[in-house]
Amino acid sequence: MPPVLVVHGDRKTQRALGRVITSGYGPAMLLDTIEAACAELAPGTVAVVGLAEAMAGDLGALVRDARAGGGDVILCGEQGPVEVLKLVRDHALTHVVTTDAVAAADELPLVLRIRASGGPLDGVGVERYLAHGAPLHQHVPISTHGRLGILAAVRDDLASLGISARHERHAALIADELLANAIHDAPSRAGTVHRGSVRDPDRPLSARERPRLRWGADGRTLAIEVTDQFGNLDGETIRAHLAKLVDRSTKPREGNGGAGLGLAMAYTAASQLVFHLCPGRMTQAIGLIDLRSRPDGVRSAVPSLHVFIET
Amino acid sequence: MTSSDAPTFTLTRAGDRLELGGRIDERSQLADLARTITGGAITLDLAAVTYINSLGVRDWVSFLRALATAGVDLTLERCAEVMILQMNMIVDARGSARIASFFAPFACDACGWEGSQLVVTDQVQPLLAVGRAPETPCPECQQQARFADFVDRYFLFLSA
Repeated sequence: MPPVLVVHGDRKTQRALGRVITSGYGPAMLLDTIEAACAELAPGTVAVVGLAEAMAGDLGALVRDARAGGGDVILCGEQGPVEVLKLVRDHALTHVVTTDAVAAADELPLVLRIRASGGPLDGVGVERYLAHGAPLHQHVPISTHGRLGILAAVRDDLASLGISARHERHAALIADELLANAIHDAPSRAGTVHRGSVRDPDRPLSARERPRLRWGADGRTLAIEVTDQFGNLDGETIRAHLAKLVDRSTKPREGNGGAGLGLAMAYTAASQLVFHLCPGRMTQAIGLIDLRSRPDGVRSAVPSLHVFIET
Repeated sequence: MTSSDAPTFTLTRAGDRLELGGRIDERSQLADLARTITGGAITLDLAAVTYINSLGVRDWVSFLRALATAGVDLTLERCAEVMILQMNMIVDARGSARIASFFAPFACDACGWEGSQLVVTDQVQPLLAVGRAPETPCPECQQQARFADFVDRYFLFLSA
């Protein structure tokens, strides 16, 4: 099991993270600074770094050295500022945990375990994030405009759950944007690279073009998963889209294709956005909404982000 | 046109005042609406907007741009939270429009009530200038309900 370093300047948070990781994954070494972490890196080490330390220290050196040894860096901190997305883009980071310690107790060990297992493609998607036995709903559009009918059905089902209007709106937006991307940004022919097809005309989708939407909820999480059969989304594209949230002067893309805002909007609507990327075979995007938060309560400006890449 | 292709937003017009409601998405065709508005001052009430997706944002931005080009002096009133979130994400989603009032999330610690309440821009800006968040009486127990989001994030659109 790859070793873990916790890098946090606040000893109380450092210890809390250490307990979360030790109880849910394995032993963790506690450190105060990025410089100390650089000195402790062993092959395969995963460094869990506090946001303040990441913004103040030489994060680039830690990322470089950790990856050189087959390890990685996970940013971690409650209520991260939107500038965190600059770090994510500039250092090609794949994991950011911005939930509080209670939620991180679920999230961090799971991320470490998926990484340690070598990849996410064990046939498990949205089930991984829901309590055992939580009912799942599934929809598969057979035409491009089939998305609209599916969204109407999802909204009706969400309303019947009795969740808050805000959670319902966020869930519908995540389903809408992820499904639209899966339908319109997947290659129309095998082996082609394709982004942003014209969205006006309704056309049938071939069996391979049909994405699958699944969603479910338990007492604490509402999870929406969209899976396509192409796998043409990559980490760099994800990071570039999310970085738009840092620059408010971003303009919607003109024309009849996508507006180029969907991924960022789905991200801001989620508590956690997870991508399972299998290049050439599958893209699975999962938006998680924490139902335990107050319907109108404060959420982090930067939701958690996880990009798992199967190679 | 199937039922799922039908526009899902509503527009009511009375003189120089318009009310836009429902869902703004690829079916909205707000550009068509912009062509019917020429010059002068218009007030647009956005209280009943319930949803906007990425294609809706593009349509909305084009709508604002068309009105600005036509020389329309636009005031937005009672902006729904979903619209404020987009204005906070993209400067162009506000454009040059004046925001007279908008909804913001509040929560009451006394009774647990949570919901959206109307905020008047001219009243909230002096508070924000001194680093204070607005408060409002809880509609259920009349105790003071607190603003339930990040001040520097939710009111970002006012600084644009």
